[in-house]
Amino acid sequence: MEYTEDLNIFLEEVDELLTNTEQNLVALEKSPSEGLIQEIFRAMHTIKGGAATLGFQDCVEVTHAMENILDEIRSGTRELTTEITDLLLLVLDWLSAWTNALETGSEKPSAGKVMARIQSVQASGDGAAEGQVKRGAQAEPSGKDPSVLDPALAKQLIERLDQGMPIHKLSVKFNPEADLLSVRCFQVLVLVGEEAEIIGSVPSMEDVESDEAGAELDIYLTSDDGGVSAKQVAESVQDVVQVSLVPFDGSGLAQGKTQESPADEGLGEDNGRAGGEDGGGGDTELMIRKTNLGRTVRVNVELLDLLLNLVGELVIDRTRLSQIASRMQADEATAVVGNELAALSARFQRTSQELQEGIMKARLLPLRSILTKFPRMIRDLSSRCGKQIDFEITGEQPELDRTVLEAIDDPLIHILRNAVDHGIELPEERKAVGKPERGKITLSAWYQDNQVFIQVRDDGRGIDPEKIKQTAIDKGIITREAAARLSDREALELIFAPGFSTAKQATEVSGRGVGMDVVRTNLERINGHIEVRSEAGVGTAVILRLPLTLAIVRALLVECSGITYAIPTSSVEEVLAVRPEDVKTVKGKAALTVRGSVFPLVSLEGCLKDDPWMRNGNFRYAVLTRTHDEPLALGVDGLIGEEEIVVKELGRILSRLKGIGGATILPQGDPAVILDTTNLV
Amino acid sequence: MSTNHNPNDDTARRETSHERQIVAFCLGRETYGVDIQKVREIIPMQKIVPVPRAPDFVEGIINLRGKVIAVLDLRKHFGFEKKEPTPEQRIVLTESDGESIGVIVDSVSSVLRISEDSIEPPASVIAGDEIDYIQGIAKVDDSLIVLLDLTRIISDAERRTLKQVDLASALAK
Repeated sequence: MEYTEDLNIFLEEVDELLTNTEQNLVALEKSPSEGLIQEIFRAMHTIKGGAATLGFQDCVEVTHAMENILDEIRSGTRELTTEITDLLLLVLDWLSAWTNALETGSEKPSAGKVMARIQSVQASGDGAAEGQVKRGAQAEPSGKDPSVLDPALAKQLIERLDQGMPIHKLSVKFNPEADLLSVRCFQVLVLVGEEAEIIGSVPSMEDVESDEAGAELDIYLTSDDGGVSAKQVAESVQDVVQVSLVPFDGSGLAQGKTQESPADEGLGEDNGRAGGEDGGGGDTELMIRKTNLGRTVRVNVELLDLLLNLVGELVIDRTRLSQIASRMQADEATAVVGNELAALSARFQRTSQELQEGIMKARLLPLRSILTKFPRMIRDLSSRCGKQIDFEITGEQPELDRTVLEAIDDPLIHILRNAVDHGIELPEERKAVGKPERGKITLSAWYQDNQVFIQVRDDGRGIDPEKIKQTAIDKGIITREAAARLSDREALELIFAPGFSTAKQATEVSGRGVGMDVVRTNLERINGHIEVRSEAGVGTAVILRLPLTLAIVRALLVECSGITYAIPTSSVEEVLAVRPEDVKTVKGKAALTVRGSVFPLVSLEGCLKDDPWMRNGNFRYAVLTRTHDEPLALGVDGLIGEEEIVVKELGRILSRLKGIGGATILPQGDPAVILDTTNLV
Repeated sequence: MSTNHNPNDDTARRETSHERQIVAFCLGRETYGVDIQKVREIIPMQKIVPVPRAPDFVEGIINLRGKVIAVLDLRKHFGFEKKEPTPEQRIVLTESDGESIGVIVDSVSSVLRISEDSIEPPASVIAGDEIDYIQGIAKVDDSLIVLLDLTRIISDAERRTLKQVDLASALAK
């Protein structure tokens, strides 16, 4: 389910609030205090808000009714009696049973019983009527309480539901400050009526026409498209701040019926179920809410980081351990102990592996958590520069390590700003070239090859390689001669050069001094990769490639002039032994042909000294890899093996070196440099 | 509040910092000193793995209890001759902006207490370009100790790296 994450957060929040409220209630009984009432009121209000967002109508109704009673107490129109405290406890128990049911996926307890109790308390209170008035004026600006259903409407809804007709509830919230709320309600009702069959609404059309409308409007409707078009038209009405559409299953109808007749026997079934949940629903019976400690625990990020580092050390140790074991096994004198150690080491390996995976998972967060702010940002930016832009987030919702998320937040903002500012053209411009006036920016994300890809694509004017070259020449990044030699693709790479910014002048939207070079650096720091593809007139796509998790990678250890280097296996396609007769020359340069593909063969040592052809093919092994999209065979002197290595930062002085991705500690304890082959040459 | 406090602060500092503790080390024939507060650790020379494409005054990286730490060669930084490794060589670890960095010195002679009075500001003639990270020159028993600000040296090194890297990538383009 798409909102699993939200649901979990909601449940966690409710759990915490219930615990607090229970404590507050107990304290309140000992010594009444306004502060405590206020806090309980706020708890109910928060739960109501969360439940409303997620479309849990039953929970909204219960908490809303409770909120009303508490408001009356707060404002002094009702006294806090034992009866009310009991009721509050009953509500807490119901909420607890309700959240437990949501969590375990079992059947939710019916709200009928609780609602009946709330209403009998409401009716019994002397100050009830007065309270209603006060509430109308204070807490709820709406003329009619939208959560209380008119009995006639409730009956109609039940009939439709019994006929198996799908009903949706469209809740519209208006800006309470706005003038003419009745007119807005009327507008929404008329427009929605064109898209769907309205069974009824709160407030009803009659109420609206007699100017009894508030800032909230609930419409019960049925339509072929499940109310989607109704929602869209409602959103288009002025002063509408929020529209939510939820399937209506009649779970809140008990209340409507209760209102009609509090002792209605038709509720018997529901009552029975609720009674089962709350232990008979006795007035003052002692309730013990099931303590639930298992769901989630908040963990300090620093602690997570520490655990990760410790696990990193374990990973190194386990490699070491298995090496010692095999050494001992090889020696006759120690073979017996060696075997034992090998068995232990194998078990240690498994356990530490699971531990490692667990900790990695604990650090994952959904990508969505940083994307939610973008629609608003694009909207504001585009209106500021007079552009019309549809922004869409599509694709999977990958989970990423929190460090990765932190590191890509700013780059994504920058890339999206660029798309709005430089990518999408002004409406007239678009029209002139036969494009729809509204531009489109799409952010999509997906998993591929153990990596996460995020693509930002726009259908704007694209990047003109010649313009890029000219800018680079003007800014002294490149000479005219060098620019002339660049291919279009190479020219696009220039936007990542330090000091490059295509904006003719710094605008509010982009060009705040942060360039694509910073974006690239940010990404590379977390083993990510950025690529730009563009076609003039058609649009631009920026693709980020990110590691799923950080910090631990499998790497091939190679030896070159006595120094060990690590190459992440994700960038190794194949490893070959090189015989002199395999090395061909293409235009005087060494190359290997592997299954029909030609790999230029360069020396790793030479690459690192910026003289790739240094030894021209005189190696024992070749590591087949890619730099950006070009195949490359790296000649090395020795292969040491494949290991899991912990990626360590190199520190500020060494962090920006080209082709160097970080460092690690080898099983023997020596540090080694991790190479970033895509960036090596 | 601050106006009331400042004079008091000053006297307090003068009293406590009347003497300074420094770690003295040798580099070539000269003696240098760094504030003991800035020194986290002094470790024996150990295997330093070179880092390709690093600026030349960076000798390489070491493994200090699972952390990878960059080590600078002060000799190279000051433009002294390269020296063959000796058993007396030490790595002085200092911290700059929360990051540990090592510097290689020929030998560590001692921890000294020197009085503030014996410290003279660096004469710009001697210090030249390096005046930035020379805090002063202390006279101790007829010998001179050049007091260095390691943090400055490191930030200077960072600046030089950035320049170098930017230049390299600009040239590559």
